[in-house]
Amino acid sequence: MNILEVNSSNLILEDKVCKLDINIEKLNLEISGNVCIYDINRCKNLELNIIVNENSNLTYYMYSDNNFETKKINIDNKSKSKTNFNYSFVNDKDCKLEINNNIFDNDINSDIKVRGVAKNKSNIIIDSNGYVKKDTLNNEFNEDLRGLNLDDGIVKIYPNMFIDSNDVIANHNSTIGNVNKDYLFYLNSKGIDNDTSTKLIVDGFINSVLDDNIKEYL
Amino acid sequence: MLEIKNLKVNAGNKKIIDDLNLNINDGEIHAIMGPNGVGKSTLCKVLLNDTNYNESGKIVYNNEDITNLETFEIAKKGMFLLNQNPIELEGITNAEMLRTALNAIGQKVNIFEFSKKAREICNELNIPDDFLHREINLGMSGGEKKKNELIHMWMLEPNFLILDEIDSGLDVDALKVVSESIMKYYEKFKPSILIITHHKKLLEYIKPDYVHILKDKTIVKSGDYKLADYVEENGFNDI
Repeated sequence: MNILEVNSSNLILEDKVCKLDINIEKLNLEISGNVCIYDINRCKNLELNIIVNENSNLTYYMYSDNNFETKKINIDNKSKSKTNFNYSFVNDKDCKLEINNNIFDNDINSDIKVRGVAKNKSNIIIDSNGYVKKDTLNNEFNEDLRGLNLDDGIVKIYPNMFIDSNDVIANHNSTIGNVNKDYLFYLNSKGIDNDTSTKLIVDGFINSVLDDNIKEYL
Repeated sequence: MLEIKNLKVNAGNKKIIDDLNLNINDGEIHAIMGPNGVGKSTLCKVLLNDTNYNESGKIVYNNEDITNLETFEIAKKGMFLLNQNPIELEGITNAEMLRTALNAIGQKVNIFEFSKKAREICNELNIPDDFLHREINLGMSGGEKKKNELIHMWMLEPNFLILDEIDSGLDVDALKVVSESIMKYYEKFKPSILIITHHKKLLEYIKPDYVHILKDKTIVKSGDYKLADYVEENGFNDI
């Protein structure tokens, strides 16, 4: 797989499967055709502006465990585009993730999935805003945001959908919780101790929105 | 051998089981029948020390007091719970969990042998080989979940099976496949088996040596297979 080192603020990708190595704090990314991105993201702070062009498909897998501070991800979906944006992260320190998903055209399918793990009493904020413009037609927008709190930290999720159109299918699902005791009991009942079971559960939580190609890098 | 002595179980302030005694010798098959809500499934979980319940009394397994052992320690001693509704675990594959569990019980995992054995079990259960690489019970039907748990049983080779209403949600064909697999396992490894069920149908496939009726928080009657026949005809009210 191609590894693209990103050092300048504008990048255009067309019909590509690639691994991104982003070394800057602001990136404007334009997508054409079918693009799949694997991003083990090491940015402490990042503003990522994505334009998914007409008739284009983007699948984006992002993972980070480097204690980022702020991330702002803006996605502009153009007509007849399809976007799957998946982000899993583990943070030991406080952080804020903001996602703005703009659906201002017609026939758009956009899925946002986020899994955030708070460790060491860290406070995590996930602020997701989906905007569906007035008079747009035949759009589908799904938002699936989940937080896992491993100790006494705070996880806040703001699942906002600002929908001004009548012709849209929009779903959102947000959950915040600790390690599920039933899951622990189940794995314990197979002979797996608490620490190992917890690790399996957390890894499973993170992996649930990632695909095998990115897992190889983890 | 499993000995349950004067077992009392509470969930919060509610008493669920009171003064229950039961001995299960090696290789014996025991069935517990009883109406809904009398604590049959609770008993299964308490045997594996589910921390949602408070219990007093004593549970001895192979001459060792396991009452206060942690769940994973009891499982490592060979107890295996096949649940009526196995939970779904997103993001964890069967293979991943089984390799971890086998390592935990001290078995060195040879990937080739592991895959070969798993494939054979899947063929036996009439399920695709890729079950091993699917997430645990995720998106599976009731029957597939039970078969998936049987993969775990065959791979981990426990010596005490707790079958908690495994007949629930199974069609006649699936019940036959699941039961036959358990009996094949029984013939090979001679584990002790504790069956929890409402219905006699399962007991036609996995014939118990003893049948017990759990009612009013304890075992009120014990007998042989004929007791299951009696329940099937007359219900639990007359017992």
